[in-house]
Amino acid sequence: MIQTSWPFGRAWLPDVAGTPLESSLERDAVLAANRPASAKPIRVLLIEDDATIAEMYRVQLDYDGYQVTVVNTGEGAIHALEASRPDIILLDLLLPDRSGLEVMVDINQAFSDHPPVVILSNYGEPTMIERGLSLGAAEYLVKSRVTPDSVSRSIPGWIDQNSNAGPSRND
Amino acid sequence: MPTASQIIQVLASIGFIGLGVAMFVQWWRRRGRAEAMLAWSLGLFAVVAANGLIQRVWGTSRPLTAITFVAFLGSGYFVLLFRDAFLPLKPPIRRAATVLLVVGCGLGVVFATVLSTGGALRAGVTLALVLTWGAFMGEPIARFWMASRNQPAVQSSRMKAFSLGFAGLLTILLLAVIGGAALRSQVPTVLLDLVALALVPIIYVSFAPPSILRRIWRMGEENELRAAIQDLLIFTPGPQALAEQAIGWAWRLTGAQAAFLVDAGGNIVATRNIDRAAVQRILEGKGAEVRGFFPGTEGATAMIAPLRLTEGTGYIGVVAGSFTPLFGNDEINLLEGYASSVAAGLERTRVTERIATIEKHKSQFLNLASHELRGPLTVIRGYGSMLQGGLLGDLNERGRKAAPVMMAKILEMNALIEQMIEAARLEDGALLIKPEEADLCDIVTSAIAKVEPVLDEKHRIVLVSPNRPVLVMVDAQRVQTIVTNLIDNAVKYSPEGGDVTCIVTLRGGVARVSVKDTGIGIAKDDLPILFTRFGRVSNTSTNHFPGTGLGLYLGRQLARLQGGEITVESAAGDGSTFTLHLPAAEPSTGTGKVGELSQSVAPGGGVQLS
Repeated sequence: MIQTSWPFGRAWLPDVAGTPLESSLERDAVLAANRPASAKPIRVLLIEDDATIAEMYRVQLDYDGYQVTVVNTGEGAIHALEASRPDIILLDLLLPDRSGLEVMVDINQAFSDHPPVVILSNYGEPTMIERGLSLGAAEYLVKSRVTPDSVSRSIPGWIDQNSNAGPSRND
Repeated sequence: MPTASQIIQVLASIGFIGLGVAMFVQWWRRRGRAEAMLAWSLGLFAVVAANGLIQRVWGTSRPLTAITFVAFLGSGYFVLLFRDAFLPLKPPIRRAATVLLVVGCGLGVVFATVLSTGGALRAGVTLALVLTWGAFMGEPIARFWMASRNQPAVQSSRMKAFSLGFAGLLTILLLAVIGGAALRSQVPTVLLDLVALALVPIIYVSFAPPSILRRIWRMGEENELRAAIQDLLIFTPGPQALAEQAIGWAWRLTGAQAAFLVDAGGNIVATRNIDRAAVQRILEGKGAEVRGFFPGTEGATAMIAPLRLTEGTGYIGVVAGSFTPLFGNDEINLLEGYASSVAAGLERTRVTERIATIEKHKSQFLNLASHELRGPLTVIRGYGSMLQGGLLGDLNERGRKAAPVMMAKILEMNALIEQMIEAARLEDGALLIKPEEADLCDIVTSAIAKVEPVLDEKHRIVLVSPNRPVLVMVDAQRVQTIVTNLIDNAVKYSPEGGDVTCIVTLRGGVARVSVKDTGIGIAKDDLPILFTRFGRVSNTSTNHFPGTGLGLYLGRQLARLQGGEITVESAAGDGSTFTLHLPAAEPSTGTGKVGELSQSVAPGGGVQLS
């Protein structure tokens, strides 16, 4: 946890999205640490059109031992899902061919037992968050509010939560 | 020795002759078709009156009687044509009227010159003549009366006078013919003659009302006008709407036929009852003059007054119609006074529109900038944390020192962007408040807990709160944000250190959190700008404090969205107390008195709560 010498700005660090993350960090870290080294690596499908951000996440996730596939369009995401099934999907909302929310609708229709989807977006509007969660996203995160490190550490938790709750979680 | 009746009759006759002459003079001055028709109508009626006078003096004469018949029918016929000048009659009706005139005149002439006078026949023929006259007059009389309703006051009064005058004439003539012997006696005759005499001024004012009468007619409207000017100045629709409204009033005020408004660039902004080409011709006709009377459309006069605007001079103009020929000094003064109000109104809408545009652009910029800034910041923050976490390789000692500073600054920037987004959301009305019952003491406690980890050695936070819950119906998350911001500010603006005291109270259904510091304070003159967007007190002692100036603005807006308010008490150099007021949740737990207070003090940032 980084502490700033200037406390003013912290007041406005929003808690609208990403709240559960911090609280579950420790548990997730424990989960990750306990992962047997011999087990198959967790497969992550990252749908992200910004190459810089995609690369940054790949560096972190590779480092943490995940097997990462990056696609940069909604169409590419569907193809990737048809080819092989990942353990978790990280989805950007601003894609060149269609919106991430549309991709989610497609995924919900085409793959009834799809893995958990975590939305990573630049937009933090409450309406967007509500819509993303109502489409069954396991979490909605605003990119600038999280780090690849914290996302990486939360992945096992999301997978775990998904397998407990079932894939058709709708709230 | 002439009787009273005879004198009155002579006076009435002279009056009607005068009317005819006056109307011809008017026509000579203003060559309009309607004026011509009215001139002919009243002129012919003057001939009837003159013949009556002549025959009274020199005895009846057949040719004169014939002329009287023809002139009489003609006067009615021209009233119909006068009406036709405003609202064209259907061709068959016009043809029928012409036929009726010709046949009536023919029969009248034959009767007057060939047939003997006297007896029932004469009465019958006279009745037929008056009825024919009534056939010409009846429709215009009714039409003008009805049409007067939606006209400007002056025009309306004139149309009513016209209707009344001619209806009166028709009634007198019918009574005189039908009444017969019953009306021959002295009293009714005098009465009828008096009425006839009274009709002369009524008809006269219908086409040439003196200015005093115009002023009286307009009085009611001027009160309305005052209200309208107020509306123009207070309410600020766009310039277009204002221009339309303005000419509507100018038109009404001057009883004009048409009105128009031209802006400083010479563009015709609004017109009423006149086409643009005609306005253009009037503008060309006026040359370099800014005020005065100029040739209007179809021989009518146009009256123009200047609109003095920042960009230059525009014009408001009205054009006299066939029935509103009178523009005098009174009218142009009125129009000029009105024009200055309109100009003020236009200036105001212009400024308002510009401010609105700037505000909109500001909001858009805020929204766009903040969202666009998030992208790059994501990457900087991500790699920064990797760098600090050692994922990108080991840092040397200097690097290990620099990384946390860099990350701290990145978080600052992130917080600023979040503030901007929140402000933009607030202005778009996209900010949702989710109220639920919460204990204000808990909220303040968690706000303190949020600040406490980053507090330096110089400051300490003191919480003073009642021993029982202070229930409020609020969006707890956002109230916490407001309080945290107030505490942050208190710490920030007391650079020398000291206590920041948070006092929670409940009194009279209002829950309050006061955050009191012993810092640099705020000068009285600077207090009003504190809560404005980007409103930071900026002077040599505060310039080194970072911030967007959005915090208090957002705080107050968020408080207000929840039925609350933020107030401040401060003096330069003497610390500040910011108080957040929130409506207490029902049922109020307050008894009008602050409960027992418990106080806990934790030096060095540690806060213990009882």
